[in-house]
Amino acid sequence: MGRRAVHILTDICSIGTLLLLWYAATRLGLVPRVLVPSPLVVWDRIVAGFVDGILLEQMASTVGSMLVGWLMCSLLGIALGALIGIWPLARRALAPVLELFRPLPPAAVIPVAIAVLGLDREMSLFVIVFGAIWPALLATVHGFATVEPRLVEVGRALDMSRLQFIAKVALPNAAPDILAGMRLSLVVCLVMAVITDMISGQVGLGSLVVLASRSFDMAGLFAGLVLLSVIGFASNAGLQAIERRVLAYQRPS
Amino acid sequence: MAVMLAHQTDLLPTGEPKPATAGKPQLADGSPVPDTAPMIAFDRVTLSYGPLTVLSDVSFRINPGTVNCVIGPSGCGKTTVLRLVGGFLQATAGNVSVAGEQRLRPTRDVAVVFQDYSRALLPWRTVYDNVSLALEAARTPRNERGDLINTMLALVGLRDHARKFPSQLSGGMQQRVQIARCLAQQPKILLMDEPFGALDAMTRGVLQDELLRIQQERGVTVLFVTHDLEEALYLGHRVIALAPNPGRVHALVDVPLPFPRNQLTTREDPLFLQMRRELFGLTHGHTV
Amino acid sequence: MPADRNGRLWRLVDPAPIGVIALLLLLWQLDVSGSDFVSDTLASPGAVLLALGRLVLDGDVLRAAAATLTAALLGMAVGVGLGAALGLLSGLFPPVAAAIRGPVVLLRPLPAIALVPFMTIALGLGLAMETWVIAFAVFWPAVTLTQQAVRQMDLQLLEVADALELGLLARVSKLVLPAIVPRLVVMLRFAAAIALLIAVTVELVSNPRGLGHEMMLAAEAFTPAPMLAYLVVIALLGWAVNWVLVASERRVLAGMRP
Repeated sequence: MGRRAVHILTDICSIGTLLLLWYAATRLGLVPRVLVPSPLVVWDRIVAGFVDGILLEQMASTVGSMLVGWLMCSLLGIALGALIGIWPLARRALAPVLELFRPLPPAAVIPVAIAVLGLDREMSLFVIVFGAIWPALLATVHGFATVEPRLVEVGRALDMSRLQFIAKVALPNAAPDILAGMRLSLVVCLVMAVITDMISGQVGLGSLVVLASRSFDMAGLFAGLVLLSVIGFASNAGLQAIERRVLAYQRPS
Repeated sequence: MAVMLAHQTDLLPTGEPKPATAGKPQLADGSPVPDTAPMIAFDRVTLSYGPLTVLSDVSFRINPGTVNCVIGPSGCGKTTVLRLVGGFLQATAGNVSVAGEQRLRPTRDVAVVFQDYSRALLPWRTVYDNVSLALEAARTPRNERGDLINTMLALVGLRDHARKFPSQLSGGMQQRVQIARCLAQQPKILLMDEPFGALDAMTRGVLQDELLRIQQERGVTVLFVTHDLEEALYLGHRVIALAPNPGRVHALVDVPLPFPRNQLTTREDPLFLQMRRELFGLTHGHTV
Repeated sequence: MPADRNGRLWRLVDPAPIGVIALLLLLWQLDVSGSDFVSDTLASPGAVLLALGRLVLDGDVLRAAAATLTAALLGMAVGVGLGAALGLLSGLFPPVAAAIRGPVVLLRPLPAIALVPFMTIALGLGLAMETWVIAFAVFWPAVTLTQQAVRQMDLQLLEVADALELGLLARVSKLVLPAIVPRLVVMLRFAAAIALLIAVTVELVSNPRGLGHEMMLAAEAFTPAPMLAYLVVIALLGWAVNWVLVASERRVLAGMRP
């Protein structure tokens, strides 16, 4: 516990130093004021934005899109991935096809979505899910496809039913892979949420940043960026904490 | 007392067992091992993969409640014999039967202890829950599980470690968890594939004695594959020696050493040493 | 083409995924010819192929692809260059690693695309803006992966450096860099994929150059055939870049084997 406390302390110090440097740079005119506002100004803007609720609303909208999209693409990705990973024929046939989709930018589905139905709230959700499902899906397929062969034999020796084996052996065995895939999907969900906001102009931090730039409201722009960092950091850290709990058995104490 | 060797087996040419002779092995209480219906019977079993013959015309009988050790150099098909009894493989010719019934698929009354114990346990489950897996598979009613699991854990001496994860245990303890899980199946037969091979000598000795103790208590029939001749002689009522290329029975030898066995005295017993000398060539690749 | 053990050529290629792809293409073709709605918004595989051919011949594809690749390469040069340098230092000197850990953890999750409006104000639309957004995106994985690569180095090599009393520059160039080349190559492949991805995304969102922009134009003009054609080109480019990098990775690693 002591070591972690030291780490956290160090991190706070280093971030504090960074903030000081930022402040100094703006104060000393090292960066053009018209481009980079002072951290104090940004902070005031954040506080004001929360007090009058506008920033809060936009932050909540982005977080909401991200989380809803993430839950949906996780459920879909795990369900489909489990089916494909377990059934050898499906795996042989589909896994290579799915791999083809890997290098595609998730955002590339947006023009298609725009052409088909336009980018409203529902379409945005579809776009987020479609773009972010691949890490979760591919990781789940891999997790189910790589069950320790010895455990398969143990399952046979114990005369387990197929369902029992999937629930008691295959699924927990795939858990590390699935959780890693879900973490990547979460990152993509945030990115896609921001992009859909930016393009469709809906309520959210993405559109905030765009609108602020159009009116040269640098404080607002930076406020949006800071909040996006916080969301990304908090969601990732939260998921990592859950992952550590679930996978506690991996580290012998 | 003569030791039967090499081309002498205890099967008649027709495949039936020879009648009992003097100096037979005994159970712990001194009573002779019964010549009852065999627990495991191999009847002219052959297993080939295309041109490759792994086992050729293997026949033997295994009596219930005995420890039988299968030895032989690598490539003689020891593990294949085990897997045939386990029901993981099917013979190309001949008949494999367990308790009188032909062996077609794995069943719960035949338990398998693998050599790579760390891979055979579920790392995300505690010791207790790993043993519980056997009962869950058998759909044992929940209220009966606790007592059974605790009994098994006590039997292998792991009561105090029930809440630990496999990654927190030593190799020997992990193997004991696997044994406990197998025993929780309440099997008629315990198949063991070089179970102590990956352990250090001291742990091996401890587990050998524990196996004998458990076997005496429970009366399980044990088929134990090992490449260690001394281990085979120490543990077994009987030794099945296989020869390679193709795998076939080289000798079926009764081990008339008294029970309970003792790591010091049994291994210094003149009969032990004599059998060891005479069987040495079989397991070290010499052909007769 | 080599034959397998039994002399049958077709056995080497698994028919199952090919069958799936063929089926999907067939469904796509049938779906488009069947309904009016879909033909307004999507195009048949045949039409896409035609559009693709036309675009290639007109030079549009090459121009756009060159623009995208240029930005990706420049962005990588800046981002990986800076990131690898910092990663090297933090791998060699624990105080550096401790100092950057906090800022890295806080800044890395910021989606690079969110920087587009800021960069547009600073640098206007065009290559420079795209380059810096890409640089930001690849900087963080470059730092982390290079740091990991140095940390996973054989400690004995560093002891050799101490024994020879090598200065920092010599230590890095003679011992550290050669030792971590395999992992650096893996890092480059990862960074390249991200660079290409971000480039296309920035072009989709706002930058009026490159494949992403062309695809977006086609979508907004309700011309589905060229839009899907550009999608295919984007996918092909991604595979091609990956294939080239994997091949060079193998070359480099093979050349290093004793």
